[in-house]
Amino acid sequence: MLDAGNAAPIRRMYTAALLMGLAGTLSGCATGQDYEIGQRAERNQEPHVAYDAYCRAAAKNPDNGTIKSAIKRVTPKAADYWEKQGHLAAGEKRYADAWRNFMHVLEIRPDHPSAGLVIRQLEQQHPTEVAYARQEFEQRGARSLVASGQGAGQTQVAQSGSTPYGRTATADLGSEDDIYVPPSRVRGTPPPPPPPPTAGKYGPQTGAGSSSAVTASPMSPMPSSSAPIPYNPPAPRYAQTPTPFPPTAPMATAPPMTANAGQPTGFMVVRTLSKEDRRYARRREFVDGVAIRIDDVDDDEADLELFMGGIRIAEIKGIRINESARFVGQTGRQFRLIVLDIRESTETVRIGVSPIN
Amino acid sequence: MTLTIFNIPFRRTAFLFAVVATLSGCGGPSRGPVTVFLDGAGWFAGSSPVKAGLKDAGDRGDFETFVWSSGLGPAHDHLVVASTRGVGRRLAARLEKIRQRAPNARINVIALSAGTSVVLNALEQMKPGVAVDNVVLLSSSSSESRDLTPLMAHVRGRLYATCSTNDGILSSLITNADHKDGNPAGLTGFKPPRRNSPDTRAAYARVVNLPWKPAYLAYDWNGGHTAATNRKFIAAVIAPRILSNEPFPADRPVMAAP
Repeated sequence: MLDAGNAAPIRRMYTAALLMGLAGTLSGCATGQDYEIGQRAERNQEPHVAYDAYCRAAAKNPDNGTIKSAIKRVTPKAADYWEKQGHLAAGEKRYADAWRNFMHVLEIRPDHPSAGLVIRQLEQQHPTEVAYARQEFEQRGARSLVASGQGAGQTQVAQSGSTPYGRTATADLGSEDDIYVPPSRVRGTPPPPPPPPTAGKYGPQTGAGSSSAVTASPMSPMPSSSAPIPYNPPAPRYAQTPTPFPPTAPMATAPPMTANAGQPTGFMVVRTLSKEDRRYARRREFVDGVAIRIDDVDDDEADLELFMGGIRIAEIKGIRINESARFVGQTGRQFRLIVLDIRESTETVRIGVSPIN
Repeated sequence: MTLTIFNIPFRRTAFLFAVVATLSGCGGPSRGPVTVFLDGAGWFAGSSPVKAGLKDAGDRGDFETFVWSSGLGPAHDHLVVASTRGVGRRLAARLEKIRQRAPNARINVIALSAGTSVVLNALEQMKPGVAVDNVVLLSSSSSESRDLTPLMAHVRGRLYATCSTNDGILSSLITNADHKDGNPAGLTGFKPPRRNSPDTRAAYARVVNLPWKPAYLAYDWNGGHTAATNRKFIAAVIAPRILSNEPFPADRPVMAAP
């Protein structure tokens, strides 16, 4: 039986337990939804997704010790992930993607022992292929570090606000040039080549007086993996004999990329267009004087229009994710646009354009 | 009879003298990198973690702390001493002497907060043809709009400036340490002047702002004012940039090279 002598300590105990529970709950709330997404991604062995989610959480709560610990925990694994992706891309001769992936490693771990050296190797051995990626990075910073093309578009998913683990509360897409990728690409394994688009869905259309044509064609299959480029594990950074950094000439435009004939080498540019989301334009210029505009988005299909000099040169009806269309730019050069993502709710489409040699 | 000096046997005295002479710098020119560090106004705890961080990153060179504080408190140091040309001249003389002693050594200058104003003043007053290699300004309380063009002539490599909008101390500053207008560079980074001469573009092509980002939490910099001197941050983020002969690939200068 409780008497006055026993009641006070028991009351204090219950109060303490209540306060501790409240503190625990509040601290979890203070870490936010991004933190929860990061936790789920960690459990699913996806450190790169977890890292991005934790970084988003940290941007809102830089002093939160829990988030800081989480970032420290996944930093090495996330860097390892991008390093592997970089080697994979290099082995498949996707040098621009490899460059981006290794730069991503450096953004996560500036003291990485070999990423800097590999980046310089790529810049020295494949200057043309990585020039555009470097130019993009210098203009847009880390947001441009997305492995594009069919290789590894795994990154920045969390920044898009839409992940397999749920949508973040703020769904802040950040810069309009952030990349988000279809869910099929977020499982940590190199994705298969996208399926070829339905042939004949959109026939060739030419605008009056223009030299460009839009043709739908099946996606050319990815080149078979060649023997990976031997990357001898470089010695620690400061033990290397310094080599002069190759001077990079300022570029007004990206130089032409060399590639196997008919094979896209990677995106020259990726843009988000939207009818409803005011953060994005409905029409934007892409490459070589060609602008793309969203006409309509319905279910999982988009209708696009291509313009050159203000004149509509082509229409693409009902293009879906991973489907592509070919067009010719102002200079006569051929390009391929690929739909990377479609969001019907906001009638938003993400498009990548790559050159075809 | 044993020869003694101050009652100490001569041989031992000679040995002690040689040790002291070597430690005082008379032992010969330094071949490794030389790092000169300036602490913030009224702050004396930055040199130790910075030195440790550089050592962790493999720096085997010399490290010295340049003391510029008047001892009259942080306010006086920030408002008066940091912008005094005499103090800048004293640092410039010290850097020139180091360069004279070691013409080929890499000289890096790292400074925190108001110490960055002393560094910028010193660079402006250095003799023509004398240069340091890299400059790191941590949480600088100098103005963001200060024209760095003339002083970059005395920097062979790059000038790095950490900045963070989470810096509570810089957010509450009434005036910058160099008494110039604008936000402190440690808040938003250095901005190029409006006039766009080739010299300015060439200068700012070697100025790199390092804004805080969540990734730096892994290295214990939460964007705070003095936390930028944290050992891990120095080792992982600053050292790779200043201890290498080549530009750091992830650097994005303020302006593109002309």
